Amino acid sequence: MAEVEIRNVKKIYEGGVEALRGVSLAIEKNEFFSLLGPSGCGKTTLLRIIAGLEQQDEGEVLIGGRNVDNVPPHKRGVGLVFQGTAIFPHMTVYDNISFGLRMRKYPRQEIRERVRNVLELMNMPFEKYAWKKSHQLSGGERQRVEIARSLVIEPKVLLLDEPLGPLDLKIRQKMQLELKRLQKKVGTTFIYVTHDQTEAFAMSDRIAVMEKGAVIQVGAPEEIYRRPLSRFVADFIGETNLIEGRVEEQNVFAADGLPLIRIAPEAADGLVGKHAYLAIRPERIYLSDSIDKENRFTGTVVDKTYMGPYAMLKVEIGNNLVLTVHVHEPEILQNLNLGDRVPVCWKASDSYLIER
Amino acid sequence: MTSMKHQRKTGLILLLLLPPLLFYILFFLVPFFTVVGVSVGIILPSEAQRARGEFFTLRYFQDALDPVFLRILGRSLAYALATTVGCILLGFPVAYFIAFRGGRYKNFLILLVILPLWVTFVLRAYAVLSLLGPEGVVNSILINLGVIQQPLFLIYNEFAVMLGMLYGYLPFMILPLYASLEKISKTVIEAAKTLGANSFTAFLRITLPLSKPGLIAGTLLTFIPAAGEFVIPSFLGGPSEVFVGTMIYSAFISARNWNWGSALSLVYIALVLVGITLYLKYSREELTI
Ligand SMILES: Nc1ncnc2c1ncn2[C@@H]1O[C@H](COP(=O)(O)OP(=O)(O)O)[C@@H](O)[C@H]1O
Ligand SMILES: [Mg+2]
Repeated sequence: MAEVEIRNVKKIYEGGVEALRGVSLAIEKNEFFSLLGPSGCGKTTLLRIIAGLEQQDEGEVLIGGRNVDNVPPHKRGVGLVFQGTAIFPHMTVYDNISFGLRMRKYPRQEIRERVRNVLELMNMPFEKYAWKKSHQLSGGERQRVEIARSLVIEPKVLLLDEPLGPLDLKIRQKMQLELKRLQKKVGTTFIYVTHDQTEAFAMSDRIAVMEKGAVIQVGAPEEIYRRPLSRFVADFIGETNLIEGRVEEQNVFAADGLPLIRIAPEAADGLVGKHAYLAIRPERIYLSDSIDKENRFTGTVVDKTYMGPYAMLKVEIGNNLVLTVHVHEPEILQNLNLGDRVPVCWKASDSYLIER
Repeated sequence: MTSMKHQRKTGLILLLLLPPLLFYILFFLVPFFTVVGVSVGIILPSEAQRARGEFFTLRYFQDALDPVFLRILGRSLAYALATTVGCILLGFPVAYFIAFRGGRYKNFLILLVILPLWVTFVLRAYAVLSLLGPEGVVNSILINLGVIQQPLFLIYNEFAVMLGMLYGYLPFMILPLYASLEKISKTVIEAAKTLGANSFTAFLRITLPLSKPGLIAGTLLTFIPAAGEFVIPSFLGGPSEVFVGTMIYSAFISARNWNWGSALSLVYIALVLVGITLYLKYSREELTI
């Protein structure tokens, strides 16, 4: 049985904005589940509905197998770390974190014990932090207090709405790892919202990609990266070259102005004779003409950008079709100039097809 | 170099401060110390004092501490306190509603709150008079409906004074309350709910403490002028509704005893000052739950 189940949830805000257009998801117990999508796609709305802060217009939400549509937020046993800060500004760290425990009328001694433990979990020594006020904390510390505050009540599900959004890249990466470690340690179901695909990839067991109020693909990170089911996902998740054309045969793809392209037969199932996109990741294209790659072309270098660990080349292979190629070997790069003719190749099995 | 620059900057700041400083000295400090001087007879000594040949005397303060005056002082403060409490009780729901439920009508609603302030206090006291008088709106309606035969005596009593005070000072409570409620982020209140607080507890633990700055400002803005009020009690009050303000006014204007009036003023100021100081000291202390 799924820990959280969302069945065909729809939400239209006053003013007619369709924030959710029939979302269905099943999130397993102890899963680190991410909702990934551009801003405005309805992620926050979905979290707020799960937390009970917003009422859906249609559909139902089940937590632990029980329909919670008539359960108010304070009785749902769901923690929510808000987008932006929601720390209680008039309280100390201790009072913030103990708030939920006091609402549940825990004995004093136990409250103290739990606050101490959860602060430790967040790598914040009790003596140093417990009596600080929110304005004495850095952005990262404040965020950790909010997470601790939601965790300490031991929710069945913890919802996190872009909790690392306001932080610097360095702290964010560190916190990503910490959160992941934390989730495994406490064994709570996490539903994590982000618009940053690297973040979702680094942390999640499974990801749901959302677009315009709908979930368009759910899967493990590798799965979503390797086999995006739509053009939107392919574009949104990392960088992808998309070539428009037609699936001629089970293993042949035809694009205007290009020689026929070999594709993996299993990728073309059900698509033969149809228009489609052929997708190939930039790091799967090589600047050589090795025999074991079925697709070999010659192209012209039209752009070259140094990215640090790799370089991004734009290579035109005919008919105004420009491919993005990632080159990781500095030796190759040194001898390349704009306008040079270069061999370009990729394996049929590294490409995949996306229906139009 | 830098020190010259620094000096020039300091000079500029002093220059900018000069007009308000002069204003303050001329219109606050000078009158205040004049009042102090008059109250001890150094300035404008009375005939009797001059006859006794006293340069300095505390006699006027002795007169000022007369039980009659102290009783009036006590009643003024009690009225002011009641006005403040009443304004909180009436104003909080209004400010809360506008801040959290006002939506796009917020500014319009606040305008409605401020609107009465555009009319002078005296005129508004008359408005209450014409509303509650023997031939006023309320009595006419009640008589025409046959609820009563004879007009009710609704003015020249405590009730009318209280009503007038609440009516007059409510905006001064609502505005600062609204300003601080408006600043409370809704997510903070929602956070309390997801942590297990019901709406009432969330209000008690989050909204109320966070509205404290507005509550303090509103209290000061209503209590201080309400304690010194004299228009409303003289228009709407009966003969027994004499306020400190009325008393001081008549000491200066009717009795023409400036020394006594000054002493009365200073006693009143001292008392209010002590009260405010204590209030601020205790209200600023952290609300621990
Ligand atoms: N309270 C609201 N009233 C009206 N429209 C809203 C409200 N909250 C969000 N929206 C709209 O709903 C859509 C989804 O918003 P949201 O769930 O916040 O997206 P995300 O969190 O993915 O950025 C957006 O178009 C947003 O403008
Ligand atoms: Mg959002």
